[in-house]
Formats: sequence, C-alpha cells, structure tokens
Amino acid sequence: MSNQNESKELIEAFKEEVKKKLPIWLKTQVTELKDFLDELEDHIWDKATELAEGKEPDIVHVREAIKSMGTPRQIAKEFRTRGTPKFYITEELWPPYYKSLIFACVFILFVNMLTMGIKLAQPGAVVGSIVGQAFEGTFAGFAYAIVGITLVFVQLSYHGFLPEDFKKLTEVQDKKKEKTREKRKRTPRTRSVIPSTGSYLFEGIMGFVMGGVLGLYPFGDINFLAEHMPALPGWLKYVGLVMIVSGVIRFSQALIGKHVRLQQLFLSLGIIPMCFNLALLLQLHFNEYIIRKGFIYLFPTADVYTIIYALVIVFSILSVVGMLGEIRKIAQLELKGFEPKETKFEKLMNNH
Amino acid sequence: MFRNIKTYRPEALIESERFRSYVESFESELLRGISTISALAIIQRHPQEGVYGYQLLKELEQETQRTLVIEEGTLYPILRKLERDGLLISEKKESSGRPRKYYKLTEEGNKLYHHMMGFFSKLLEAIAPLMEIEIKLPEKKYVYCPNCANKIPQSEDIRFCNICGLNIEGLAK
Repeated sequence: MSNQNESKELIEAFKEEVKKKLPIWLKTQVTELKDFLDELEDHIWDKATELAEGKEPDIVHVREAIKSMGTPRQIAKEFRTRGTPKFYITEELWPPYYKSLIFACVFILFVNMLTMGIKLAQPGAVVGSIVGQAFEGTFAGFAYAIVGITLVFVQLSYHGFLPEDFKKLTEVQDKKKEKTREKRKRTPRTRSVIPSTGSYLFEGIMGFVMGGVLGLYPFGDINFLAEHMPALPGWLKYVGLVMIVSGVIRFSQALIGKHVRLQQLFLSLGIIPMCFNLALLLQLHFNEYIIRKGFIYLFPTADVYTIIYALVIVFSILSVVGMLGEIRKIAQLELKGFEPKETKFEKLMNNH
Repeated sequence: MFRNIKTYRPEALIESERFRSYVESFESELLRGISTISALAIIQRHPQEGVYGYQLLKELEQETQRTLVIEEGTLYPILRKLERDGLLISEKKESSGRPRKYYKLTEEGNKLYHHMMGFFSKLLEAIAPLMEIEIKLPEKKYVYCPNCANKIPQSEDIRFCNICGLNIEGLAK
C-alpha cells in the first residue's frame, strides 16, 4: 500500500471512530456531520503538512497529527456537554418528557377503557373480571410506558439532545411551514381549552339529578314496560349510576378550577364512565329485552332491529368521538395550559 | 497544563489518580469558557476574510505562548456551537488547494464578544487581589458598562450600552 493511501485509510478510520462516538442528534444531520468530519480531515492534513515541513506528509506525520487532535471520545464529548443536568434527564428535556408520559398514559387509558366498554357489551360478560382486567392492563401499560419513555429520555440526555433537535429531525425545508409557524406565533393563544367552571357545575348538577332520577326508576308502575321491556329498569339504573359518576367528575372539575395537572387527571377519569356508556349503548343491540321487544310490539311493521342497530352504531361513534375530545383537551392543556394568573407581587411590580 | 509530562515522580501529588482527575476536571471546566472567549478574540481579528480552524489554533498558540492549549479536535465542536448559537457564520473557500471553512463573527456575535470580554476582564480585575496579581484594565481606551460590564471603545460615540441599554453618556473619560 502506498504511503498516501495508508495515510488516507488512517484518516478515514479516525473519522469513522469519531462518527461512532458522536451523539445521535448530530448523526441525524447528515450534511452537518459530513461537513464536521471533512473539517477534521482538513485539519489533520494541515497539521501533517506542517510536521512534514511543507513537504508531502507521510504516515508518521499523519499519525502524529491525529494524536494531537485528541481522542475520538474527547471530541465527541464536546458535543455531549449540551443541556443542564437534572437527575438523569437534562432540564431542557423535562417538558417533552412530561408530555410524552402524559400522552402515553392517556392513550393507554383510552385503549384499555375502550376495550373494556366493548367487552362489557358482549352477552354474558362478567363485569368484575372485565373491569379488573382493564385496570390491570392500564396499570401494566403505565408501568411499561414510564420505564420505556424514561429510558429513552435518559439516553437522549446522555447524547446531549435538546428539544430543538426534535424539531430539526422533522423540519421540512419548506418556507410555507415557516410562515405558518410565524403566523401561529403572532396569533394570540386561545385559552378556552376546557369549558368554564359554570358549565362544569351545570353538567355536574345535571348528572346528579338525572342519574338520581334514573336510579330511582319512577316508571315501575307502567305495566307495558314490565311486560315487554323487562331488562329496561336494570339498564336505566346503570345509566343513572354512570351519569352520577360523570356528574361527580364534572363537579370536581368545577371545584379544581385552573389546575392543569388535576384537570388532566379528571379529564382522564372522565373517559372511564364514557366507556361504560359505550358498553350500555352496545347492550341496546345485544340485549333484546331492554327496548327492542317493546318496540317490535309497538311498531310491528317497522324494521326495529335495523333502526336500533343503526342508532347504536351512530351513538357509539359519537361516544368514541367524545372520548377523543377529552384526550384532545388533555393534549391542549399540556400544550397551551391556562392563562397565567398574575400574582399580587407581579401586579405590584408591573404597576411600577 | 500537565499534558506534556509523561511520568511523574512517585511522591508527586498529581501521581494520585484521585487528585489528578480532580485537577484535570478543574482545568477542563475553567478552560471551556476561556477557550471560547479566546477563539472569539482570534476570529474577531479577521473581520473581512474570516479564519479557519487550523489557522485559529496556530494564532492561539502563538499569542498564549502555548499556555492555552486546546485539544485540536475539540475546537470544532466549540466553533459549531458558536455557529448554531448565531455568534459565528461560516463560509467555504478554497485555500492552498484545499476547501476550508472560514469563520467570521456575526453582528450579534461581535456585540456579545465585547460583552464577554468586558465581563471576563472585570472579573479578573475583581479577583486579582485574591490571587496576588495585578490587573490593569485599559480604561483610557475602553468604557466598561457599570451594569453588564460590556467593553465599549472610548473612541465610539455611544450613548447607550448595546447589550443592556444603560445610558453610559458621561462615563467616557
């Protein structure tokens, strides 16, 4: 192998070693990475040429020049000094870490509750066992998500990843996008992420009243219902119970006010009665003794089966949309929060 | 500082792994900021054509009589960080048959450089008595902003500090 080739090979090996040690965020920026490695190579050739006193450098000079560069680990370490240490995750990565945990947990809760709702609607479903499985699944999912996400963020912190690097990864070189972002910056933040306290109070009270009424079942004396819809009282009692639980959650939300984390918690809890609602809706289709028999008796010529089936499908979709709406509110609260309240101290400071 | 010494006498304190790593980590922490300021000082001397990495290191070595020694490869991450932070801009130019990356200070970088220099100079002046050394700042040539220590040339007719906005009229001698 010629001297020149040997030198080139050595430099390439050095560059490869540096590249291996570099943090992920730099490796993902292909142009910058190449540019950086080329710059190191130029430096080595400059140094080697100087060591060779202006003549063609040989392998000994190149080796010496590489030595003066510092080890690949030392070079890569300079890129890893980004970020302020805070436990094992850098301070800069805590907000995306929190957000990822919240989104993952809400998603796991949603999937488990939705599955529970559908299982509960099946004929002969064992409620206790299904609910138990759903909660077990939810907590196991939480545990996996927390461990997994934490490990990822610890690793990202170790590599000196900063939140802006996430943006760079997804950044499309499109000026339109830039303009949209600028526009968004200029647009004042809309703060009405969740309904007002009054609205929640109203929903809470309505939940108590309607749920109480259904729970008491004041239609017991109607012979027709007892004869043709024998499962209706039990079904209505469950609906009433779910309404009361929803009412308690809404009432709590009204009392909590503008506390982001607690609002997010109760919005998540709100998904649970919604799933029971879905299960109860599906029961209307699966259990003919709730309403179908009665309606067939009342309207013998109508296609009651199809009408109820279609209505159940429509309301089930609306129910799932409602659940997704709650998830959207949780996400919006995380991204936008509430309008910060000016403290007495800040007011006094601003007045001066 | 100890990088040129291969072996130490056994009784030397630095032979102890514990103390050597302490000294090394202390030096590297202290040098991090100083290397940045010194690199900026060299770059600032080349406002038109800029300076490339190897040239910068050579000038730094000469100016500091080889006292401030940066591991050569570690200079480039520093330069890239400064570029990402908007203090430097770079341009690729051919020189001696090789494409080189020339670094120049941006307008903001120039302002921040003067602030960093002023802050560091005032800091040295303040701690000088603790170290039993004397530091004489060129106060005939520069005004140091009393609020942020920004270093402002006396020759420039500046009424407000371009870093913190303090009214410095009347401070010039």
